[in-house]
Amino acid sequence: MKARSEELPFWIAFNHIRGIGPVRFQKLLEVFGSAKEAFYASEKALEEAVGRVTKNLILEARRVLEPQRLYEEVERENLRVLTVEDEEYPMLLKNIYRPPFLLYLKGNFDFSRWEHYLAIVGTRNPTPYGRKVAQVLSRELSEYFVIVSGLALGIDGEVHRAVVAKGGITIGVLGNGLRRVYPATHFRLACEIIEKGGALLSEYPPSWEPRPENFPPRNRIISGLSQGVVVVEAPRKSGAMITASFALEEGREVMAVPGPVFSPQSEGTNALIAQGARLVQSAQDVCEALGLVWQGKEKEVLEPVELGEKETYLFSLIDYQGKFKEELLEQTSWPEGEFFQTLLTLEMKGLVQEMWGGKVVRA
Amino acid sequence: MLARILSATTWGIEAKVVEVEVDVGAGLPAFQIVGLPDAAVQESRERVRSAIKNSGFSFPAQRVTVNLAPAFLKKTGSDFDLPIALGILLATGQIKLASSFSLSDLFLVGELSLSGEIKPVNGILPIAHFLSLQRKDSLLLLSLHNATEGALVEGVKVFGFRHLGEISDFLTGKVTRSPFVVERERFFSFSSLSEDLSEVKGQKRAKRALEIAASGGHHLLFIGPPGSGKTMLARRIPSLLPLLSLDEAIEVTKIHSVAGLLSLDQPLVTERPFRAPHHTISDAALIGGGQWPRPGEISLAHHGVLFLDEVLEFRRNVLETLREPLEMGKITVSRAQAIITYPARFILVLACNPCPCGYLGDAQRVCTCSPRQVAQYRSKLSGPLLDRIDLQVEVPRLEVSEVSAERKEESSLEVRKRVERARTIQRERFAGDRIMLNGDMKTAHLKKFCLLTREAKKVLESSVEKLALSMRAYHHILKVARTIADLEEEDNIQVHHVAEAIQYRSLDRRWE
Repeated sequence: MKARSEELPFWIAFNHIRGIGPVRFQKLLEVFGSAKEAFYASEKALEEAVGRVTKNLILEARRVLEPQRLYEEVERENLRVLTVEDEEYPMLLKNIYRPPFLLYLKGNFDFSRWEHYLAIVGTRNPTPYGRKVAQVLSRELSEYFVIVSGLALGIDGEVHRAVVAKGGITIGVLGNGLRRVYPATHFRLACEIIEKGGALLSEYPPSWEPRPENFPPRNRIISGLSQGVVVVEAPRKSGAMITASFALEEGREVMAVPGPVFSPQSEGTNALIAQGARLVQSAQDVCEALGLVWQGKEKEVLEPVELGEKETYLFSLIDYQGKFKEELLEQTSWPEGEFFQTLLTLEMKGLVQEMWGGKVVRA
Repeated sequence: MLARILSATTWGIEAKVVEVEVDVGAGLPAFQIVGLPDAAVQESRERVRSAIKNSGFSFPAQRVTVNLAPAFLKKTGSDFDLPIALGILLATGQIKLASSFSLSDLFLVGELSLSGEIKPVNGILPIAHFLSLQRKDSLLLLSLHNATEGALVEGVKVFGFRHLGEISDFLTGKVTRSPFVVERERFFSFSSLSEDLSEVKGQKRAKRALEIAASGGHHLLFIGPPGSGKTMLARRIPSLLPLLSLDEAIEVTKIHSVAGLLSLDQPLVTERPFRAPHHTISDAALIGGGQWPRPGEISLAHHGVLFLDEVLEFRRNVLETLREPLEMGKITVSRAQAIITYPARFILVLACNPCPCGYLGDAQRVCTCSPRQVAQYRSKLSGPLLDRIDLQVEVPRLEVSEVSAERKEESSLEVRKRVERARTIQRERFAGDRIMLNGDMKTAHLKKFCLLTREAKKVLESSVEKLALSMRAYHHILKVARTIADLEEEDNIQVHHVAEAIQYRSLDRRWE
């Protein structure tokens, strides 16, 4: 790239044009030599290079966008901007087909300092089982990897939360500009990610709002940043499955956590396993799949909790999918007082958890 | 000639005496009614004129002036047709009162048809009740169709007539009659045909909540997917409540009488009412209103159950109006024409879905809501109305297992016995405290009456902490635990009472 400070405003300007992605931008660079040249190129030359439709986009952009002003705006956001030609641009991502030509980064994070990256993703609407798995895997694997995920509700949120709680480093890849955190309920979490040395990442200009069509490309970044992708829970059609298919295309390791065959939230992951994805039962499986030496315990052992006879029986009736209190009351056929007292004891000991809607699940 | 006849009209569920003065004198033929009559009263001129003519009497070709006193009280409805007609007949000397009658004991209420037939009117029971208290041994003359309703109270002699001619025969002494008598007990032959708890299979926990609600007078919220049986359960609460006493039945009947909801074959409301207004209801229809404030759904549910299905669909301002009646047990409706207070003491039962699509956690259908939508939905389930709900119960939609399909379910009667016992305990406990049920307890009462064993206190405090329950939840838990303990006839609240009560506060937990 020519003098970076001179070029960057125009890179940012092109990043602001919807309809110009990595492929067209690459083409423009090839034809005109620099973004600046491309931005001010003649109509005819543009049409020859990228066709009429894209030419019109650029002409329109030239009318409304002021590269220098956009650049200053981005500067003010307190972000770092990485171009695909920069040294600090993550190597793994650079290797994918059409890597994003600009990345906006929030947080004090340096890609070159870390070697191992792992994406853990899943549905926004997980079962308690999925949440639990996401927590355990993320917590244990954060000692080996920088954990990448999408900061969405559900599994993604659990992943980031678990890593942050462990003091590990995690990267949230957003489908919108970094000026705001979407979903807004994860604002707190986003701040903690950055405090702990992680980062938020987006290929979209800071001011851009989340749009449905932004998320599949976002998923390609998640898989592109990582050596492997673990899908914890995903229905057949979901963003996590898109992430997995990108990973497959790029030759990254695809791993999936099996689930009950009746659970719609595990249909996708079970299908992935059927197609040959690696079956994940523990953090150790993930480490070994990616060629790392597992140094932890064989498997996390729960601390034994003292349970009475009734508590043990009631606990044995409750599974990870959840049972309605109504069903349990029926099954035990205990008097209400006895039943609820036992249930409360289990809950207070942290063994089961009540869900909104009347179900009880193993915690 | 001047004639003075007594009549009465309803004022809310009370009654007021109206004096009907009729003057027939010289002048151009005319017929005027004064004394703040409304349009319906004005129209009675035409009915009275034809009714008199068609009953074999003649309408005077003179100046007729009718005054309804007290003149400041606005008069409404067709109640005065009969006294006006009789006044004219007396004033023109067409009938002569037999010496055994005195006009100051006679009360006439009724509408006339053009043929002279006497038609029933609304609000007879409040009038009869009023007369039985204030004007003992007076005679109430009304339509035969109203006679049963009027005769429900003791201390007033009720005579029912079909036709204006019959009244004149009676008053002139041509015919003697004995007062109308009804066997009130007949209406209390309680029909166990009404919905019984045993018809609901399974749903043990929800039924238990119904029992607690009925015992302690607690308001209740059902959370469950469509088709889980929330409405079916709520409908059965009246059958769990103690039978209406005669006084209560009369109070309820008065309200229904004023609202014009009594049927001819069941003039006394003996079953506890169950009212389930649709969610499009207006605030006036719910709490009462109209130019002449009529009782709303909450008053019609007096001594019974008010059920609001899909509570989140109700307009917010409509729900807000429930606060005063829930607090006071009555509602005062002010309008330009009148300010009227109706009683409104009921068990409030609310129902809603667990999420916008309704199928969260359902076994057969997948919920299509995003977690955020569910959280937003849940946050709507709050506010001053929900604060007054002691019991929150999830009602899942479950397939009935074969075992429970064949098992004999408990009948309403069996549950009612326990409810009655628990209510007796409460009545004794609150004898000096001007409240009747655990659901009415205020903070001061909680300290006095909700004594916990040491372990129960410990469990309650640690669960409040661990489950992140609010202080408000704490009070609700105490009240419900008190009722559960009463059902077991325990003086002090034990651990398992508290543990159960905590299970009915799912909305107060902190959800992620």
